[in-house]
Amino acid sequence: MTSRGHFTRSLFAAVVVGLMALAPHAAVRADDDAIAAADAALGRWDVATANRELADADEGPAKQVKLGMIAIYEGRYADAEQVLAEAIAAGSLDGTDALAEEARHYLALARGAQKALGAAITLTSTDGHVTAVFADAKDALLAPYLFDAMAKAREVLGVELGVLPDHAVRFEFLDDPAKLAMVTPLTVANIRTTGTVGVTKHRRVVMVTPRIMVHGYGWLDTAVHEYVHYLLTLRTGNLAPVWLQEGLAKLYEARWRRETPEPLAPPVAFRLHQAIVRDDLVTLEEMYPSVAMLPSAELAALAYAEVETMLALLRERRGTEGITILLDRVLAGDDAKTALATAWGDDFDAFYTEWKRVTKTRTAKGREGEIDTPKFKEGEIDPDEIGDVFSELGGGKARQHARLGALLQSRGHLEASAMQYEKARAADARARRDPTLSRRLGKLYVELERWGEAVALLEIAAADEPDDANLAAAQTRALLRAGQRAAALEAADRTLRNNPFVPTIHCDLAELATDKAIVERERGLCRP
Amino acid sequence: MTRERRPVIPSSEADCAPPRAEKRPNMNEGAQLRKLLDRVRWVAAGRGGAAAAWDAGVATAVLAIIAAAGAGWSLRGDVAAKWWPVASLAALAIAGAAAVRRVAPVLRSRREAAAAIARRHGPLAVPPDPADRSLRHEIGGAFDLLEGRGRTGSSQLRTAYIAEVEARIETRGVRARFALGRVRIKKRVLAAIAAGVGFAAAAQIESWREGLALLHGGIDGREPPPPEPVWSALSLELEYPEHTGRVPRSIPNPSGALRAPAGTRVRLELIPRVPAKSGAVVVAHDPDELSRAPGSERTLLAVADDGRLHGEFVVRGSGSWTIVLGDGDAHVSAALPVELEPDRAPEIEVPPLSPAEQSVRDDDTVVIHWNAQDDFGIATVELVYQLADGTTHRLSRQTPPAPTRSWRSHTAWDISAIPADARTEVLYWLEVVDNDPGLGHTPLADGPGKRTKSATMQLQVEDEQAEHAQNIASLRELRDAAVDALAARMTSTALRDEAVAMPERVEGARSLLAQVEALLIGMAATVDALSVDALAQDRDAKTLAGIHGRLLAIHRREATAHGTLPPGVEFSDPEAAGTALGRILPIDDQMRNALEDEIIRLDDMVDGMLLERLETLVARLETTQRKLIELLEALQAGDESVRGQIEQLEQRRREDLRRLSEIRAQLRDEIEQEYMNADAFAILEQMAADEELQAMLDRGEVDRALERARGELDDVAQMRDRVQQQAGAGGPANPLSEEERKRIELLRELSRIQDEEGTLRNRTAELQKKWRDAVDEQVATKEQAESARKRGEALREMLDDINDARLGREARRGLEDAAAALERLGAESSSETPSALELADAADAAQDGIARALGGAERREQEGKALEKAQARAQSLRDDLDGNLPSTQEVLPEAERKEFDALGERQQGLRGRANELVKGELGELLPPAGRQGMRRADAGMGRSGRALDQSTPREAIGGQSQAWQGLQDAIDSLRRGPPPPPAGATGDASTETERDRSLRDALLEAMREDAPPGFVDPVRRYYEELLR
Repeated sequence: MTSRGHFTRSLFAAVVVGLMALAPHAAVRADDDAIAAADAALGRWDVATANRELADADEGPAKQVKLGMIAIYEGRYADAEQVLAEAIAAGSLDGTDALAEEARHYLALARGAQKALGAAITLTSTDGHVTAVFADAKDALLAPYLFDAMAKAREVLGVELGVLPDHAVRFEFLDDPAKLAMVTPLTVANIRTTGTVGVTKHRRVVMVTPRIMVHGYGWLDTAVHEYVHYLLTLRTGNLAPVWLQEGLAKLYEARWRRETPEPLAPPVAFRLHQAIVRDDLVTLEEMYPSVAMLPSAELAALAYAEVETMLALLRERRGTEGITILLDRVLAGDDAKTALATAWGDDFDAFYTEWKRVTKTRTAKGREGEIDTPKFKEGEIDPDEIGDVFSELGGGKARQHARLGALLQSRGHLEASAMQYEKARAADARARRDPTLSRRLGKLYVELERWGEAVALLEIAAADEPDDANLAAAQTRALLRAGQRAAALEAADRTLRNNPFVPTIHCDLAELATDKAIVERERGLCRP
Repeated sequence: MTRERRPVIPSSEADCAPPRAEKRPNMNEGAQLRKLLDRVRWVAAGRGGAAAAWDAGVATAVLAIIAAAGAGWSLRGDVAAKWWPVASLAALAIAGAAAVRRVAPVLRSRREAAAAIARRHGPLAVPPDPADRSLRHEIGGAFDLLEGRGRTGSSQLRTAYIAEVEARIETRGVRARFALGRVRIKKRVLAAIAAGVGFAAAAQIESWREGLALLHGGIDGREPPPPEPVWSALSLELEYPEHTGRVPRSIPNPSGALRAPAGTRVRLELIPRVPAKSGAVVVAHDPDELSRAPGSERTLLAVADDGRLHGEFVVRGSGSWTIVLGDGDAHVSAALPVELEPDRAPEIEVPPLSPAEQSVRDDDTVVIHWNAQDDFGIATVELVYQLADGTTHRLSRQTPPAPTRSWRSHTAWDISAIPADARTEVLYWLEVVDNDPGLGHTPLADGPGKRTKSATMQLQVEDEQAEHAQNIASLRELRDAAVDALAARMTSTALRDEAVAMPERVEGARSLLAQVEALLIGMAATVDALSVDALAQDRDAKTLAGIHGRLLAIHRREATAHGTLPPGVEFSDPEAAGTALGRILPIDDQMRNALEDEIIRLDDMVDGMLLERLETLVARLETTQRKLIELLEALQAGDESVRGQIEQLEQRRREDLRRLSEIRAQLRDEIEQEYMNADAFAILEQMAADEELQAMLDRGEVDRALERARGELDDVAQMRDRVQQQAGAGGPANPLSEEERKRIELLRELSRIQDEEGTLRNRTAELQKKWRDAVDEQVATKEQAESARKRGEALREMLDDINDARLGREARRGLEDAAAALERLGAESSSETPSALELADAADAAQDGIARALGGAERREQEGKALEKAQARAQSLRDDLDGNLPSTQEVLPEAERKEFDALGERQQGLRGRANELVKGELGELLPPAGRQGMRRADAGMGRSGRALDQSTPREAIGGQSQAWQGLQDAIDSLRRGPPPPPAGATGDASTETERDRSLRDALLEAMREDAPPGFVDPVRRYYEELLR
């Protein structure tokens, strides 16, 4: 045995002994790392990676809790309950640490979800990309429209945002706003105060069905808005800040049905213009941590308009590629402003200057007015009740005849009512353009089956309230009967987007549709 | 088995010596033959392999169809996925073996290959040649000769023969693939087609498709089997709480939901399937709100010597319970549901008193019968009554003679205990309390027992409200009748369409006349009723009488015209009837025009009266609400004694709200009906019920109830402001919002300016009073009085000519006020000693009324122009009459004269402050309506400043009031500002961003705490996600 050989063997033995001594610590660290990696993967909704990481972790409460979370992310609430109960039963969660809190929270969430959904029915789109879970079977009516919209959204947003979920996106429709409180951190009071209708969390979209809103709401745009949040979370590994999330969600919420976003409402455009002129914009930093935390509704509306138009400008000038670079940089860990500058191809100040210049021009025609925010009428009196529906017409003949028309209509004298409304329109040019009067008379003409006259009037009214489902339904009927099928289809789409529970719309759709399957479906839903 | 081929040249025929080897003259002899045979062997091998692959592929597909069908039927995609590849491999092996068996002889030797060629048919090359058949055999023969088989003849001949055959092979261009004959693929193709068809057919079957998906994913599609029970025996013993009166119950090996009332103690004993050294039962509760979910409970199980485990838990709410045994390799039971068996609130039915019993005297005793029921037991019943002043009184509690779940009895109510003057409006109800001790998650705040009230009933009272409501209803009926009459006249063909038969026309004309006649009769009766209605305004009866008079005048003319249309004339003399109808036509036009105007007046009367009622109720509601807040604050501070009063007030409030909603429903009648989701109303009702103050207090949510009550007070105050605004009255400021710093600052500054403006006005009013006292005795000269009278009359005539149906309701009210003021002016000017001050006051009131009327008129139209002219005249009249009075400088002492200067300076200062505020940073927060208000305030302050400079207090007060109101409008516009924006500030009402301020405040508070190093970003993202 040479001295060199002896040395080598000694060194080997020392290394082996050292490794053996370190082994338990290394194993613990590896275990912690696996849990942390699984946690991080869950943070970016990467359930597959989280599962893989956890496969390597030692059994124990931490692993159990994460497995429970994964079950929730996959919509397996009963499984989650069992796994989390086991973790809690183990007793090693001391009740005060974050893990114990997490276990209790997710166990309550698992119970809450099961309670909220009850005997839910689940439908999956034929392409397998969307799963819709309905707490009440009545809401299954929404499924085909949701699937259609989401198929379109997937197609266009997949290109725009560069991400397509490799799993079915889960939508849960609840039939009571209070149920949202069971599955989100919001309290019932929060929900009632703010009118929250949709939440994207834990790799699923939870929404309230439009059936339980008196006149429905823009549920399909809301679904797509939430879907954009969903995609952005996947695309950026949940690193996009709120302003970017909301800006892109606003920018793309209508993308599934139109090439460009909805134009800014005139009062919002006016405020944005004023803010640019006075150099009084809400900064991106001020939007942190939430746009909703800005001190007033006007400032919040301004902030939304800012981020939406900023991202719209980026997309307009740099195309989808610009958005791709922006999101890539955010994913890589860049600050979102820096990422925006990179996508723009210059520094952020240059982008900001150009955006202000362009937006100032584009918003120059905004009109001053009240910002349209949802109003909660509980406890308040609708001014219409105190005055009359034609208060905005001021005094004079037009208002008098309009009021007489309303009184005659309320007594069922439809022909006479129409005559008085026409007198009101003849008396004043303002009355001829008045949306309220146009709506009343238009709907009256629909009732009287004077389709041609109804079409023109309902068009004026719809321009003022495009999202009013009742109005859109009346417009659909009038246009259909007047032979304008394409326009009728567009109006029918507006109805469906806001309140597909209006029964007459399905009768009209049954006539409008060309696909036999759709005709059959709509005929089944028609309640004339 | 391949038969031995006989040599081509038989030995017997050769008659030669046995074959012997000869040295071959040519080393290449037979090379081509061998090459051909080798190629043939390769082709045979290839064909064998291809056939095996094909057969195996078809077999695999068939097996896949079968496997998918099996998976679809059994849902065992996992098993099918495991066995299908094995079966496929087996098929491949079989196919391979068959192929080897088929081609092995050919591959074994060239001789066998040559024999195979000889056995096959068909051409050896393209195009076909009949000689190929013999060539096949000759190839075999040549090869035999080459190999030295058979008789060896002449070597030259043999060589020549072989060479000849090779030459023929060469010439013919024999191909190896032809030599082996055609490939027989028909059966295989048919098999593949059959498999394809089978696949397509199977794909039409949904269960097969599902099976294929299961097979593809290797998924076990069966419902996951419930976890194997961790016990081999389990028994539960339920010990019910005492108040239920139930005996303990044992449940061996339970399945399904455990249903028990709150407070039930569940003792469990189990024998584990696998010996366990430890165990626990975890009870998870259903959350009503995730953010306030009750925590899960964990209870350790005790292990007995015999291996059994024991434990217990108490049912406090719905949820689930799970048993976990062991430490490391834990055995977990399925989550078993616990359902809370509700302890329902008690019920009490009280039949209403008969109408005769509802009329009571001082010494009467009213006997109220009732029937109370509860699922577990009734504790007490008591009668509660409430007087008009809001105070509530309770009769002594009645308790059942023995524990009972149903109790039918009565309460004797001595009316003499009620003060006589308070009996005009006595509400009463009964309250029943059950025996629930409140053992659920949320203990009963007002426990023990849940309280239920019967419907509220009213004792018969002299109710002016009811009379007034009846009069309003009559007015509504009149309006509707007038609307019907107008509709009939607008659509009638009787007077205009000569194509209609005369009898029908005449009948129609008579019907129109009769309709108005009935309307006028009803109107006359309502005028009488309104005249004695204590709650109606005097002018309501006058207005209705005026409407009646005007319509009656036209009606009389129409009736006179009908006099030329005696019964039967339409048959006897149609021409005369036509002429008569022609005479009626212009009167019909007059009546129609009149109805168009009078309907508007009637409608405004109805709305006005409803609004007055609304205003009264809202004021009362506000008082109740304030009192309620005081009591809730006391309760929050720990004073439990106020609970009873809170309930009483809440009862009063509900009653007022009910009336309010009735009035609102009446007002809302004209809003068109549209399709609404009926299910939404169930939710709204549930929400309203949940939000009831009493429900919150029952849940122990005093803070929330207080917050709610404060919010409601603000709502009520806003409602009152709106009502008053619509009804033409102003109101004081609401409490300021605490939330928005800038808004608060702006609101406070506006409020301060408004306060100072108010002080200024008060001081100016004091000076004016002194001036009025000084000039009170001043008598107008006869000339002055006469001039005022004439000008007043002229003005009155101008106003009478204005069609007030084309003005808004408020404008009409202004016009009526102006007319009343001019009437006063006329009366005063005609008196013996006309007061110069009264004349000036009347002229001022007239000017003010006309200004209000002008505010609701369309200035481009005739009425607007007439009112503008009237306003100018009224202003001139007022200025002249003011001029007849001594000025302040003439009658007030020096100190007070100087005070006008001081007030003027203060006014200018205030105006400057208001201007700075509007132009400054805070002013930008003002919404458009607020800016308009500030512009009005500025104009008012300017007017006041100028008037103070001229020491004319009346004008100054006018300006100050205008300024005060403008400031109020600005404040209101800020207060009415919408809540923090939902995600849909531009129409998006969808996301979780829509939070209220409480969440925001809580989060901001939480964020103030520094996150640990390395957690700043995750914490930030967490909050962002929360608020997204």
